[in-house]
Amino acid sequence: MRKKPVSKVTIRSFNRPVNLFFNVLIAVFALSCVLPFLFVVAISLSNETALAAHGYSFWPQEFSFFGYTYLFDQMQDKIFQALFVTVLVTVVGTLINSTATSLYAYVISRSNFPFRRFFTVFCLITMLFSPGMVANYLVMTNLLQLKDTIWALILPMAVSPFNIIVMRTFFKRSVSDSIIESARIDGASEMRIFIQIVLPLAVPGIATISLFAALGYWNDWFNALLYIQKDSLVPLQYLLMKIQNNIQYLTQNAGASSQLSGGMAAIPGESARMAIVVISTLPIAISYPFFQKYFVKGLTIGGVKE
Amino acid sequence: MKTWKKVVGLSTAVVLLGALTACGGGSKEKTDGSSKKTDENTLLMYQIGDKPDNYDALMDVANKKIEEKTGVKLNIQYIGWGDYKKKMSVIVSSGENYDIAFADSYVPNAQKGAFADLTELAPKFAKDAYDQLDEAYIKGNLVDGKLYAFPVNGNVYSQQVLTFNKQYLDKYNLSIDDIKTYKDAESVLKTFHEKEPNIAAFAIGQGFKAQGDFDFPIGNDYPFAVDLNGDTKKIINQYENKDFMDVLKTMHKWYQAGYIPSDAATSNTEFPLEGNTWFIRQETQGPYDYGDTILSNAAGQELVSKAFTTPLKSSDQARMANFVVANTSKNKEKAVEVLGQINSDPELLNGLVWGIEGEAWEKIPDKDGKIKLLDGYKPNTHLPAWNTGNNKILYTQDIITDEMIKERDESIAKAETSPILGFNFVTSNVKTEMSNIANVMSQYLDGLNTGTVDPEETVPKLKEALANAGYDKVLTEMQKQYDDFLKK
Repeated sequence: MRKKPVSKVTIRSFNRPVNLFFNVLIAVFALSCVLPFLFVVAISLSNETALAAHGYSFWPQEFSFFGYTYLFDQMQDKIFQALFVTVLVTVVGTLINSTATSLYAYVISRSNFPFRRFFTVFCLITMLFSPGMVANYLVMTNLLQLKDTIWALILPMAVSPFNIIVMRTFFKRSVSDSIIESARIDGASEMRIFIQIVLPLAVPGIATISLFAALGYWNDWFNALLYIQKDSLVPLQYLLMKIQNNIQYLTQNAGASSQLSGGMAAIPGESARMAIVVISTLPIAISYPFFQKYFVKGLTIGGVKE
Repeated sequence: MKTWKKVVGLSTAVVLLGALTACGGGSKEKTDGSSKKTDENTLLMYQIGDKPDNYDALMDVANKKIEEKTGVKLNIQYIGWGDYKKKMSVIVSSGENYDIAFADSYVPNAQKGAFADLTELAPKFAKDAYDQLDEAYIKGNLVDGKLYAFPVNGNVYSQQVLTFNKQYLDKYNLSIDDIKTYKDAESVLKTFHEKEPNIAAFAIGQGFKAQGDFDFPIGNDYPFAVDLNGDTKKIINQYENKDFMDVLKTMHKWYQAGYIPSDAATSNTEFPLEGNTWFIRQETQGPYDYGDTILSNAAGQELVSKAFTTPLKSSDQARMANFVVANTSKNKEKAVEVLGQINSDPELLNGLVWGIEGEAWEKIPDKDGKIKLLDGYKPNTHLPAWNTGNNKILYTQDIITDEMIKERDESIAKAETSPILGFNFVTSNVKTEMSNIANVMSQYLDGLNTGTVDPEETVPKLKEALANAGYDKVLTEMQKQYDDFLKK
């Protein structure tokens, strides 16, 4: 065996065919994420009768804005009210969540904090063991009396243990102890160190967990199902879920009683439902690119030692 | 740097504010909550479905009448059709305080002790209404010999029908006179499908069950049945029954011929009654449907039905619309009294079911119990009849003739009572097997019932899977309990 002469050192790069293969793989994956959504958009722009006759297609057989006009005529108050609730919950919730998470994570990331171990374990336990729905329900309704308030949508997700662990690692990695030391020597207080030195360094991490939180709040409907009965506090996703659940119930019980169908309120058709899906996903999908640039840095739980 | 400082400052402020308002809101809510609870004069009732648009107006009228008689008010909280099951199970298991509810999973919850025992309360505090109930209602709702529900007197028997869209029957000149089984409908289906290949000939979807003359001790999701035309003392697996097998074969044949939508096993497509996207559908009808009157009314077009099973008073019908009183309720007697009033006071009940008198309907002078609908009768401005109260005391429109009412009462008297009426299977010894069986069934149910798969091939597979799931053990246990039940 003779050794090959080395002409070029290429560290961190694949050779061409492998590169192509991976590119294709990722492209397919990306497409499989985008296509369903395009599909939904196409259905929402289709004519109801055409849908029934030809089935679904990626390009609407017969264009019609009926789905959207239906929403804005029939359900306008409900939709706007729900959209407002969703936006409010998302904004307030994300602020609370990212604040609480970064504060907690920073504290347990500092090696000179004496109760570090206890608080880390405390946080991990909540992540590993879930008390179950009924216990949560009892705490929310009986103990905190939060039934039918906006807080019932915000507080259950105000702190996310997983994000705390991610942030802790992030602080550990991106803020070295020596910086904190030197700030301390210059006479900065703990609060000042956190706000002026640590936070600016941790922006990518905070942006990432904020996005997670925002997504969580935006897509949450289960808390609304459990705690919300007032029409004025129904978030958009739950409105959609309600419609979906009703349709499912009806088809599952089709023919259970003719009187049942008589007592039902009119249910929006396929295209109107898809229009709600579009309206409820677009805003958050549009906000994605703004977080994009932080992602690369922020999303690693990290295994690099200094 | 600077901006970050601002953002952090702001968010901290927001959080603090939030905390303050949360506490504020919380405490306010507390007073509200406690005042609701201490308000002895308002009963909380959970009801399934959509809140009517004019709920406040309806309840104003109703509450005047209720308060006059019982001294309490009624507050109805609506929970959507699809969410009801989930939400009620949380409410029941957390022991939350409510007074009356539309029953969900009646038997298991009653066995758990979630509901108040009404065996003595109902005849005492709701005598009028209780006396009007068909015997099958009482028998069908006994759990361990006790009554936990106040059923709505309505369709005490039911039969399965094939409902035809009359516009198509006329258009293509199809006759349905001698249709008595699924098989008989084949020729009309064939003709129709040739003429209108794009319209669902037999409009069914996920959750559809092929029906026959059977009754099911734990519902037709499970492979336990009693053959009404065979030995009614034996519990069998309907998928091993020859008649039912023939039905499944018919379904499969239809599926292959394209009469059934090709995605039936998974689709949740709605075929609106009032629409023209369907030709035949399967419906359930009972005495208070007055033939096709109610159905055609709901559809706003004429529909014709042909029954293919015998009228049967079954446990399912008896538990169709049960109202229960919570065991945690502090006003059990009052709750029963209110239920009794809803089910016996025609003025009160008709004001809910038809809407507001004078706006939605008016009485026809000198005709007892007959009303005329007015322009104000609109959808979602009144409550459904089947789950509100005693159908017997409802006023009727003029299209319902006296003969029809006579026929209705005769047909109730004539209807057959299911041999398993009131039989409750106690699953405590076979819990694991039951959940195994449920898992197996969920794989096969939709495929078999909608005709998507070939029963000749699939049913043997199903039997094998059931045998592995411990079917025989459950069957033996059920048969044992059933024998004991028959001895009583």
